[in-house]
Amino acid sequence: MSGAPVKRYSGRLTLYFIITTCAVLAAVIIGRLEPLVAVAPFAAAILTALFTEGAPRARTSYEVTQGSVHEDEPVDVHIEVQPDADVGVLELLDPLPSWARVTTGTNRIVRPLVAGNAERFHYRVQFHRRARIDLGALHHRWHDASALVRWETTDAPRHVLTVRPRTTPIAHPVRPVRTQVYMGNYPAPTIGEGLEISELRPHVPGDRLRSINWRASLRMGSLHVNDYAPERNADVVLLLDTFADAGAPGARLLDTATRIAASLADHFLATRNRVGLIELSGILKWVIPASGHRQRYRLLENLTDVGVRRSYVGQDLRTIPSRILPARAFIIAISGLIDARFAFAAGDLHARGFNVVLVAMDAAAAAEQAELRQRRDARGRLLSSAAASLWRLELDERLRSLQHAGVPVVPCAADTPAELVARGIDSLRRATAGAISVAGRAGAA
Amino acid sequence: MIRALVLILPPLVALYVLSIDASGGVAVLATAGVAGALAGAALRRYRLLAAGSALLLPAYWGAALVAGRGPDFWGALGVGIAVFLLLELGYDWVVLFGRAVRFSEYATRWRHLVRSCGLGAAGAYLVALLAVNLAPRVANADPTILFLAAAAAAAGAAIILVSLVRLWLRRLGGPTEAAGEEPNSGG
Repeated sequence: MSGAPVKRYSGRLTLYFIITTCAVLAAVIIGRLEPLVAVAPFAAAILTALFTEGAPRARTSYEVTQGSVHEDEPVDVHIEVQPDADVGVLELLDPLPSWARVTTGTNRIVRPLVAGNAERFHYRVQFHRRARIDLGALHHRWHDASALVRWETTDAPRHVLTVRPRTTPIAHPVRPVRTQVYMGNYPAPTIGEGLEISELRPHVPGDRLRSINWRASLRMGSLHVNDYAPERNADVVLLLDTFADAGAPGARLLDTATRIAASLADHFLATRNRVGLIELSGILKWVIPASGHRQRYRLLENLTDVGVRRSYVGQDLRTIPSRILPARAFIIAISGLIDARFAFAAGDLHARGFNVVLVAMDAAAAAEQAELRQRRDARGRLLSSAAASLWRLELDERLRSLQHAGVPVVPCAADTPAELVARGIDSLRRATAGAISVAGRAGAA
Repeated sequence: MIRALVLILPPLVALYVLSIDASGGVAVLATAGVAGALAGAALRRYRLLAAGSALLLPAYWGAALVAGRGPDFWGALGVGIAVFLLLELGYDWVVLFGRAVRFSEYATRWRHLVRSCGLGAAGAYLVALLAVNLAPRVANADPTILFLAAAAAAAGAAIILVSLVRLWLRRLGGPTEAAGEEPNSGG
C-alpha cells in the first residue's frame, strides 16, 4: 500500500519564475521588449509544468529471498517496476539502516522508463547487527518529461527481515558441573547405566555378571565389578544484563553479548542440553530451558530482540525468582557490570548455591571506542578520558568484589571469539567444581 | 555532445552580448556569467551553472539598453533560448547523470534529442547573429588580429570535432557515459 502521490515542483521552476518576473520588471523599467522576448521559453516552460497531467502509474513488486538471516549474511533484494504509461525518469530508493552495507548493485536507482517495459533491479545487502528490519518502504520519485514536476510516494513496508545474532561454532566442549536426569553427553557424578567407568569395587551378591571386570578380578584374586556413570544432560541458563548498554553502533555490549549467548546456546543445544535465557533489566524476561531445534529458534528470536528495557515499576528488580531457574542449573551471566543491580543478582545467585560463571565484558573500553568516534575536539577528549578513568575504576571495583565473593569471572572484549570465552568458562568451571562440591556437602550436612 | 554544447554556449552568448555593447557593467555581468556557467559545468554544480547562465540575461538586457539601437527581437529570442537550453541540458548532465542515469538509455529519449538539437541550433543561430554584428568591425580589422582569431577559431573547432568523434565512437561501442553509481544512501 502506498500513499497518494504528492506533486512537487523542481527548484528550476522557481528559478524560471524569478527570471520571468525579473524580465517583466526590467521590461517595465527600461521600456524595451527584449527582456520579455528573451524569457519567452521560460514562460512556456512554467505554463507547461503547471498544466501537466496527473501522477504516473506503475506497479512495483518487491521480493526478498530470505525471511531471516544471521548478521553479515547476504540478503538478495529484487525489485520490478512495470510502468503503465510513458513517464520520464524514476528515482527509487529502498531505505536501509545505517549499519547495512550494499555489496552488489545499489538501493538507489534512477532510470528513464518507457510504458510497457518492465525494469528489474537487484541488489545484495549485508546487515552488521541484529534487528528486525522493515524492508520495501520504497520511496518513489517520478520526474515528468520536462523534469520540472515530480511526484513522490512512499510505500508501506512490505517485508520484515529478521537479522539474528551471528553464531560461531565452539569446538571446545564446556562441561557443566551438575547434571540433570535426562539423557545427555556428560557423565553424571552418580552410579547407573552408562558408558564411562565410574569406579571399581568388590563384587556383592546381586551384581550383574556382565559388569564383572575379569582382568582386575584376576589381578586382585577376588571378583570385582565396574560401576558406570550415566550420561546425563544439563540445564544451562544464559543470563543477560540488559540494564544498560554502551559502545559504538554494531559493537555495542549487547550486540557482543547476544553473539556470545547465541554461540553458547548453539553449542549446548547441540550436545542435548536444555538451554534457557533470562534478560535481567527493568523488566524480567525469560525463556524456560528446553532442548531441540525449536528451542534454538526460540532463543535466537529472543536474542534478536534483546535491548535495554527500563521500567519505573521494577526499579529494585535485582533478585531472580527461583521459579524461573531450574535446580542445579549452570548459569552463564554475560554482563558489562554497568549497573550494580546485575552484580548484586550474580552474587546472589552464587550465594544461593548455583553454579554461576560471569562473562565480564569491558564496558569502559566499548564506551571509549564510541566516545572516540563521536567526540573529536580536544576538550571533549580530555573530559571524557577523566570520566572514563573514574568509571573504569568503579567497574573494576565491582568486578573485584564479585571475584572476592567467589564468582568465577571470564574477561571478554568486543572482539573476543566465542571459542575463547567457552574455553575460559570451562577452565573456571573445573576450578570451581571442587568448591561447589565442598559447599554442597557442607550444605547437605 | 552535451558537455561540448554546455561548454561552448556560455562564451558564445557572452560574445554576442559584448558584440552589442562592451561597456563596464555589461562586460562584468557577461564575464561573471561565463565564469559561473563554465565553473558550474566543470565542477558539476548545477546551482553555479544556473546562476552563471542566468546572469547572461541581465547582461544582454543591459547591453540592449545601453546600445540604444532599435528592437532586437531575434537576438533576444536567440539569447533566451540559448540560456533556457543551457539550464535544461545542464540539469540533465549535472543532476540526472549525476544520479546514475545511464547515458546510453537516456540519450535515446526524444526530450534529450530535441534539447540537444535545439541547443545546437541556438548555437548556430548565435554564431550567425555574431557574424552579422561583427562583420563591419572585421572588415576594418588588422590582418594580424584576424589571423590570430581565425587560428583560435580553428583550434576550438578541431577540439570540438575531436571530442564529438570520440563520443560518437564510444557510443558505437556501448554505453558512453554511465555516471558512477552512488554509494549506499540508506539510513
